[in-house]
Amino acid sequence: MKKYNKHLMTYIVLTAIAAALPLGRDVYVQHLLTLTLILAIYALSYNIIVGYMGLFSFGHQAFFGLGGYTIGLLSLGEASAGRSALPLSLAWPVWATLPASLLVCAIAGYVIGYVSLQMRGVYLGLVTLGFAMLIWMATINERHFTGGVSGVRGIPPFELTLPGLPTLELSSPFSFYYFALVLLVFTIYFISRLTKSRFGRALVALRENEERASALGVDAFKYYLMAFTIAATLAGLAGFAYSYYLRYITPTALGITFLWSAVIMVIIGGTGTLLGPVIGAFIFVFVPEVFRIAEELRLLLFGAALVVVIIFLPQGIYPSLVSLWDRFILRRQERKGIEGEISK
Amino acid sequence: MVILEAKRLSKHFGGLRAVDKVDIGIDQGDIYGLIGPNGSGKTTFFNLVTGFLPPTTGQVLYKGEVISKLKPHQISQRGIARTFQQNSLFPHLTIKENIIAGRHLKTSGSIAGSFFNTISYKEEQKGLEQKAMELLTFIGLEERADVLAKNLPHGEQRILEIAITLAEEPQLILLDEPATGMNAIETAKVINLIQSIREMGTSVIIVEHHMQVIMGMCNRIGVLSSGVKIAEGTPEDVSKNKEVIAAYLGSGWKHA
Amino acid sequence: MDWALFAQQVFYGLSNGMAYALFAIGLVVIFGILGIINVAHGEFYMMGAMIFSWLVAIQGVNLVVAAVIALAVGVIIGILSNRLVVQPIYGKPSFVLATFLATLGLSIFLANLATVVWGAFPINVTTPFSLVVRPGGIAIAGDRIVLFVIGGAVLWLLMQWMSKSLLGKQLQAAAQDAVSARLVGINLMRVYAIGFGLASVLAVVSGILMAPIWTSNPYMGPLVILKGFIVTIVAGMGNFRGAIIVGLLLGLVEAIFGQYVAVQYREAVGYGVMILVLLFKPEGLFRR
Repeated sequence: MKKYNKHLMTYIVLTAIAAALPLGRDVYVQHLLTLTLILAIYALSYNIIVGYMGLFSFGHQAFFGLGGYTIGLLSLGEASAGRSALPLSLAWPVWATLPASLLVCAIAGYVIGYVSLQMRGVYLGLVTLGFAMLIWMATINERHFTGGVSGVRGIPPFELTLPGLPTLELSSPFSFYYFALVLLVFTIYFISRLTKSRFGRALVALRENEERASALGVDAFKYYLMAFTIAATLAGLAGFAYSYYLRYITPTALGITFLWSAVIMVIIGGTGTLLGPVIGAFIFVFVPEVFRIAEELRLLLFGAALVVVIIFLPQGIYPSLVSLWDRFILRRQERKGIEGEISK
Repeated sequence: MVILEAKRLSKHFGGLRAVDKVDIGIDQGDIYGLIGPNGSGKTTFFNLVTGFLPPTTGQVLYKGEVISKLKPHQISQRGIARTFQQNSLFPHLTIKENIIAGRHLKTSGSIAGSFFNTISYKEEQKGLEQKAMELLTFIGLEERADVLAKNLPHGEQRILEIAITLAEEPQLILLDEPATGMNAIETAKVINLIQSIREMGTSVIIVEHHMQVIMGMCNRIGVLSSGVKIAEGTPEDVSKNKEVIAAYLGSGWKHA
Repeated sequence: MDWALFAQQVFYGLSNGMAYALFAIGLVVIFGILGIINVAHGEFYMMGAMIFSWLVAIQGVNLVVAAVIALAVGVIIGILSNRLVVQPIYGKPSFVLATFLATLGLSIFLANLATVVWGAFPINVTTPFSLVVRPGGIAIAGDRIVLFVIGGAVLWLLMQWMSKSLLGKQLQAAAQDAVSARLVGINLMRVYAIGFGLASVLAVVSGILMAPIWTSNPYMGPLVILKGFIVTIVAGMGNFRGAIIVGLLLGLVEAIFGQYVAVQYREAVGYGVMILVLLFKPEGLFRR
């Protein structure tokens, strides 16, 4: 139980640090921080598949984009619909668009997962990629419904009205940051509890040894499908936040660049951990900014970094840091032990 | 009472008859030894019984129900547990977590229970820890409960493997060469473990090359050669059977 | 039915298909011999097309010289990629996935390197063959004829070389059974390096041949590699003859579908077929 409290303390401290990060920074940094949190949710959702299921999907970007498009299309009102020449003018409020986008992604995840999870390895990756490319193509082609290449523009700002409370409007990066932080904390807590549940244990058992786990009564397909659906839903949550934050969404959000981003964040940060993907997202957004790397050089460097990490740190940066830290502590304890012996 | 029955069970891989029209019946409480030269179809037989391979012809009945069309997890749900010859732990989980994985079918916690950290979730968690520690004490690994399974020496990995199947509380256990690569002390440990499984009333089918293990423990033995059952009976009967001796000599059998 | 239009689509489709086949066969070589999937194969193609287009259209270099330079650079990139990216991982646990990801990194790297060097704008190249003749109302572009002739010759030579030459036989032996190949004294690492180099040559050749037909830009690698995946999956991984047939067929089906069903979903046909094949016949349509 003590160990549990220590973990809780660590997370409270980390959240407090995260909450203090945007204070007193300029708007651009606040914007980058907000983007980091949203991408971290997306990376965490991808990590469910890569890190906890131990499988590779190359269609995760589709769920991110679907979540974003769902709120984009549903939240457009008369005024903005006219601007983007889309037929829909539903003007759904947040409390309706949130469940709608999660539901769309859950259904899409279930259907695509149901078909794809018959396969393993690279084949699974390619089927999911095939589905994502079909969705991407449909989004570009059905421009009367989706806005085509220019996407959905003029999404109204995030506005939440609860009875008896003043309307909560998040239109600046600063205010949206805290909303994204709430979503991220929820996501981390959810995934951490998920991995500690019977479901999570079965998932990890499957990752470690699918044959052995099924001999213990774990229905591999059922658990994989559930996890895939959950991952798709969380990707939808990230897409939801992304769309409300930027107030536009284009087919890029469900295109191959967003697959690359997910792979880079999760593999570089570290698979199968809670903080790895968050660190991955942070690196993905901030490293190019800190070193003032030109836009076109960024992906070039991340491509190279991906190669380097896979060759030299196959577990990713965060797990490597953790084991380095462990070794440091261990050595210090050993040294203390030796000193103790000597002083005797 | 017959608990498991294989009826004219066959598995062909192309032209190779890995298992050919085998009839075997296991009674409740049996410790049934399955022996035969390498490549005689013993592991294939295990894979057929536990659903990892579909039979070409014939069927497997468990307590009167045909199970040969079921998937591995469904067969496991009916109370049949097995070990594998190789790579059958969860290498990056701790020893305790390996045991807990074996409790999958004996637990029922929901994701929501875990999310809200409910009382029933906590109690199940506590029960799991307790059960795992009991089992680890039983096999003498309680002090290394938090060691990663991959860091255990080979002999103890094999023993942990059996303990995982015990965590399932099955009615029938299939052990695939549990004492392979073990020294005398470890072998004795395995024999003790299997004895206590019998005392629990669990039936066991065991494939093993260690004749010491087989002859000392089994009440019945079946012999496979090139996929065909060539003999069956008590250890004394089988060891005197001429066909059995010929099969072993012919295949260059080494007494391990 | 307008037969001229149909014939037009057949010609158009088959010539696209020739490019698909030529490109996919390189993927097949790498998968067949090394057992890995090279995601950067699309960028090898892009590099070939970009270097050739840049030399011809912007630097005014002679066609043949430009092609030779593009090939040379392509081979160097191929050899370096094998050395620096694939070999360090080769043989490690789960190396199939690891090489997939590492070559994905390589592909992101190369695509953006090309953007830095040439900018994101497409380059259009015209050759002396870039003219259109219209026998019987069918528009036939000279560049597509060149693609057919050279592409067909390359594929034929490749098949001959694979089945007749000693090195080709060694490549096939390594593809079938690495352990036995090593036992009979084949130097696997050398064979792998040659296979990788050969594959990059094939990618660059298809890039050069397609450069006058499609415009080239640094971001076209992923679109091409996806075609390559479709062809190799549908044909059956590691199947040479199958990849050629499926490549040609894919081009044909796309063109016919585009003309008679829905032009905006022309590209979707391949993905649909790939998903169906993976689900119902995952070993591919052609036996190895």
